Amino acid sequence: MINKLKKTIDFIKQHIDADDYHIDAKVKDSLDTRFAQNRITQNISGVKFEINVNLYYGKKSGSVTIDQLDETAILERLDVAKTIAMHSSEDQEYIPSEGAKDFPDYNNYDEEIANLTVEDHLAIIKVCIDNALKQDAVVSGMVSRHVVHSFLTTKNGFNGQDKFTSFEHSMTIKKDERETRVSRSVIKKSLHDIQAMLAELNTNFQAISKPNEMLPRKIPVILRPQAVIDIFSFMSWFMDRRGADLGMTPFSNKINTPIFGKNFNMFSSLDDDRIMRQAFDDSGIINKNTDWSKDGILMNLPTGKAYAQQHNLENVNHPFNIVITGGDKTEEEMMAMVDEGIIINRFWYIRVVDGKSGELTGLTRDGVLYFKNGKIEKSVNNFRWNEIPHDMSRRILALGKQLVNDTRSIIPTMLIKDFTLVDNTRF
Amino acid sequence: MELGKIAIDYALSLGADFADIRIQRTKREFIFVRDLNVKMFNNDDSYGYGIRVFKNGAWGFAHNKLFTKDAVIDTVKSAFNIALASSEINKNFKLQLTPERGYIDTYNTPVCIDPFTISPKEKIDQLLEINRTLLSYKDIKQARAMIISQNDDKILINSDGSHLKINTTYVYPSYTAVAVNQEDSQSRSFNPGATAAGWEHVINLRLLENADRVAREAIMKLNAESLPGDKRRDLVLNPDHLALTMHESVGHPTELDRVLGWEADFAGISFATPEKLKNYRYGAEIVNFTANNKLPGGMATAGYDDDGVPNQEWQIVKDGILNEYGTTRDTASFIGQKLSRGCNRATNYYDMPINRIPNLYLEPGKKECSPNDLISAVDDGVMIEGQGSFSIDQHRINFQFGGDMFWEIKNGKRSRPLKKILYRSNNPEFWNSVEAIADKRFWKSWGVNNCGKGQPGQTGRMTHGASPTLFRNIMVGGSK
Repeated sequence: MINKLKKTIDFIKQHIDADDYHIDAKVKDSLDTRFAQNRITQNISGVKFEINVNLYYGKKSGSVTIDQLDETAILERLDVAKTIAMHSSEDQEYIPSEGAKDFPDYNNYDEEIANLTVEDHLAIIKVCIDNALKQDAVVSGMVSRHVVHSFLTTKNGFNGQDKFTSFEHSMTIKKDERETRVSRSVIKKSLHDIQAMLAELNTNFQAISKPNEMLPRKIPVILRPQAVIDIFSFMSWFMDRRGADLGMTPFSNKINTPIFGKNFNMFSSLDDDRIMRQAFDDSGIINKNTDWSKDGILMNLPTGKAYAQQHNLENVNHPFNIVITGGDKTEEEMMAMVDEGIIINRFWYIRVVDGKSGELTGLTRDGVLYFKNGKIEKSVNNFRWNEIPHDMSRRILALGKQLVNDTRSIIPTMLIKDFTLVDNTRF
Repeated sequence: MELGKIAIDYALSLGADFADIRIQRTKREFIFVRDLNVKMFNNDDSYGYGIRVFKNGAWGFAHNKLFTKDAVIDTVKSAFNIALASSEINKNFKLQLTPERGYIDTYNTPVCIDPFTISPKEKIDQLLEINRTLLSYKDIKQARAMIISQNDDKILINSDGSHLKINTTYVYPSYTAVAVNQEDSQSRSFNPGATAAGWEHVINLRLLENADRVAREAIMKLNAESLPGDKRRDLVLNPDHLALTMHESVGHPTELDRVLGWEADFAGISFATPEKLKNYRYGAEIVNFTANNKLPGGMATAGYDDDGVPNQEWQIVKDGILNEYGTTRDTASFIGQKLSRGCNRATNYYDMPINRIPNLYLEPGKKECSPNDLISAVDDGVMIEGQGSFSIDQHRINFQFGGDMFWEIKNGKRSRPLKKILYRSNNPEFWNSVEAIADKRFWKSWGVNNCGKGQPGQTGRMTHGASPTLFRNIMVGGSK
């Protein structure tokens, strides 16, 4: 399939008469097994491939996807792209495609993940179900493996290819009103430790009881790594230079100013091989180590190349992964630092409430624990919260050890002062 | 066609209890214009097939896009082997399929003008003209406009003897003006939702005629005030707003897969559990939610679902009481239903069908009642148009919604514009607070084309509808 795809790309290149072009192609081989209530509910296997072709005639462009490999179909699709471009209007922000470049070859490929079979998935799920049955509970979740080959080529000579693997495993255990979840996604199978995941799941599950009612208020919270990445990855979506310069976001005129907490450091890194490292972005622009917050100062905002050229700025790619610096505090030590608070496993359904201020809303999920005088006292209901993430980062009281949370993030636990809970739920 | 028969025959020869093949071509055109620049004009075309095999209480699904006999045979083998292996795990917790007869039928979305025959220039010129109108206002700093056109051409053949040809088309135009001043940024959109129809629907929407109003309202909103603090107030919610509220607080909680816990690890479960059927007061007595996959223009209207079950009409909430769910062939039997309601749908050929919200709407009020009648009954409240921020918990109880445009209602009159308004409520408080619903003259539909669900993720389609509705005593306030 890979060789066929390469030949197809060559064929496409030979039959393009455009002033400029950009071709990206992907082959994705996936096995996705879903389980729920101690049974398999879906089990999906297949290989998808897709070639995206963008043609430029002057500043006019047209793009098509091609997913058939016969030459007649390909030529028809190229004709569609050309017709679109010819009838289109100019994009004054057009910039020529990237030229030839050297870039490092990061290894994001793991043979062990690539070779996982249906039987391997089912063996993992059986362990999860047996664990749930021992506790008279039900478990639901997902086991997925993906093998992706991608290619990017342009008229101006950029030629890049990448291959990577990922493995995802999540499980939610539930009995009556007790429910909690653990999930990991990794780029190397050796980073998937099912016994450690089960131990974490069982510890959390045992700590949870029927939720007690608790009313919303401002309160210290311990955010576990999944909750931390949930809120800061959402924030990163509206970190954009164009929007900031137009006055649409909280980051307007804030570069090089301290808008985050002093102990909040967030960056994208090409130096840690435990997470996905991509040499270039979708346009062929080389990724670099990028600081987003350094000692609380907003260092960069993603800036598209066209916008950067128009405004004499440096191009900055979007975060290709997120690393937040940790500390050395354990959850027990964090609990001892404040009179009371709650521990939050993860957030759910985060949405923007006010783009200008950066205010988000969301809910807690998968078990909330109330602690007092340094000890967990009880399970409590879930909450709705409304918070401004950069404002919240100024209230970080302590940071815990980092965890490789998923294929694109390394995140610590955080203790936050005065987290704004605005409503409570009934479960 | 021949390959379809080969697939089913081969699956049965292997010992499948049930098998189907869905051959699907999806054409999708997406045009996006920002600030007079054509940022995207993309034409997608994906073509392939997905094969489901059911064996000993478990599914196997495999997909392919190679249309040769060998490739089809390999894909069937893969699906069968996956089902067989999965059935070992399921031996004590088997899935069951409700029976269905075979159908030989055809369905086509009624289309007068095929959107793919309209020239790129005509489409782009329209979006550019909208951009120009919006940007002619000095406080409008960004204008965005887009049109999506999509056609799905499917053949579904299954071991029940069904042979269905289903061809659906939808169009979805929208645009947004962003107004900015020194202190704030606010947007206003023209967003009529998606409709299963041809280009004639886009023409009838008179997109450009609304652009001046949208720009003016964006600026009005920018300069408006919010409301101080949270307080219980009345709400008059328009159909284009209520579509989202009912989608999240009625549509998802009544998908049977969620009720059964099948989405526990991802999208979440539902408070509307089976023991509540026929006795749980979901809403006030005048609240009736109808599921209707035969709705003209409905995004879920397709003749049949991807289980080969005919489209139907039924009551999800009847006289305020939880009445039924949206079901599939592999979920219905878990609550003792003999037949599926036909809510199993996949997005692309490579997706396995999942339990989806049907076309679902709030029935209009039976008594003569206009939106002005609703407003005149409010002393202190807010009228909300369009959609904004939305968030709901994983049991579908607690929710918070914003909107696109807000008007204060004081002493029975719509008064000043407002901004940054949120309301917070929960099930069953919210739908039980309905006091009046405008009559059928004011009923409007609103189609969804991007309902995210499933792992791997899929985007489902369905249509909602309502007349303007009066809710009493809901917690309403400004954002933080």
